[in-house]
Amino acid sequence: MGKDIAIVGLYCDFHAQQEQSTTNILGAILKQLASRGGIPENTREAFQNAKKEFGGRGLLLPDMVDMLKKTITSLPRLFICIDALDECTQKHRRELLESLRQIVRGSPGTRVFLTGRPHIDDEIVECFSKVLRIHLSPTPGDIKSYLEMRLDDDPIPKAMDKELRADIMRIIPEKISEM
Amino acid sequence: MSPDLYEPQPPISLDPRDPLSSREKSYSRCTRSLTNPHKKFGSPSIAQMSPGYQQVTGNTNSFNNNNSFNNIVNFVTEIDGEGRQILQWLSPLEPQQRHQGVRTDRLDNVGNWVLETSEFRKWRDAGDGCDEQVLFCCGNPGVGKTYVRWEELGSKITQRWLTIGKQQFPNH
Repeated sequence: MGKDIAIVGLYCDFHAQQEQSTTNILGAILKQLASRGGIPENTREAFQNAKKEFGGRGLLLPDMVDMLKKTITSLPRLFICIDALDECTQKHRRELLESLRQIVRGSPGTRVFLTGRPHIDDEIVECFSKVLRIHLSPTPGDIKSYLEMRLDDDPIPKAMDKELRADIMRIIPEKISEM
Repeated sequence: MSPDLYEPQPPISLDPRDPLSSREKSYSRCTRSLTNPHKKFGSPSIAQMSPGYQQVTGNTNSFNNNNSFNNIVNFVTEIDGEGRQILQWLSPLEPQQRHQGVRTDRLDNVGNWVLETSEFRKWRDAGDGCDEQVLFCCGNPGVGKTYVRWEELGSKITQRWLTIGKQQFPNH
């Protein structure tokens, strides 16, 4: 799989904080790579060794980081996207960022794309000295598109008239721009 | 009879020779829900691979990169029986489960300005070994979350960005 770009990603969710442990998140990333590019040999060996142990040993975070690092060295470009990082528990988030730091350090072709609320910025900076940042806020055009979509989906269109619609389209963007 | 109320079973368990009409009925309902990309159970192969996934990943469905991923990584690999066990062992999460709502479709241009920012371009175009490997898109909850659903914005950016990645490396 030498010349491929791989894109892997995961969406964090507040309601799945327990399942979305750091090991599971990184495992999901490795799983995406493996299911497209084939099971890496070192991963297969690790699985076979774990199976020999009583009850089959579960994966530990250092093992996972190690497997992932070995797998991605053969990829010239890897994009790891993690959406809504603020929805992880703080413990998982710290572990995840630290693990990503280790992974990225040994892999110059890897790029990490994170999204989340601004309050996790400090935690990201602790792990990565240089972070490019984009502050998102919806543009007036975005807000209008969204409002139009919601108004067109109105389940009770009879309750709407042109005047009300025009007011909504005018007042909501105004209020948002004041925030 | 809404497909929402129906609890899908893997179609593999249904024998087409089975004369019971209830089975046929159930099959047709099942097919309906499986052909609808907005339903959680859109991928029977994944369902078979990991029977417990619906409890653990009801959430991760929203990540809708699956197709784009396919487009870019252009190789197909057969996964053997042990391979499937390994994938399951690696993680119970199924982020590739595709879930794309109609609403997301309709918000095609929302958030595109992000891709025009110098930060995004710098991050995307930087060569190997640069220090700036991480791009963080942060959104103020007071604005972003209420009027433009944050996750829609995020996934749109990701999706668009996948296309750009493909254009940037057309030979790969």
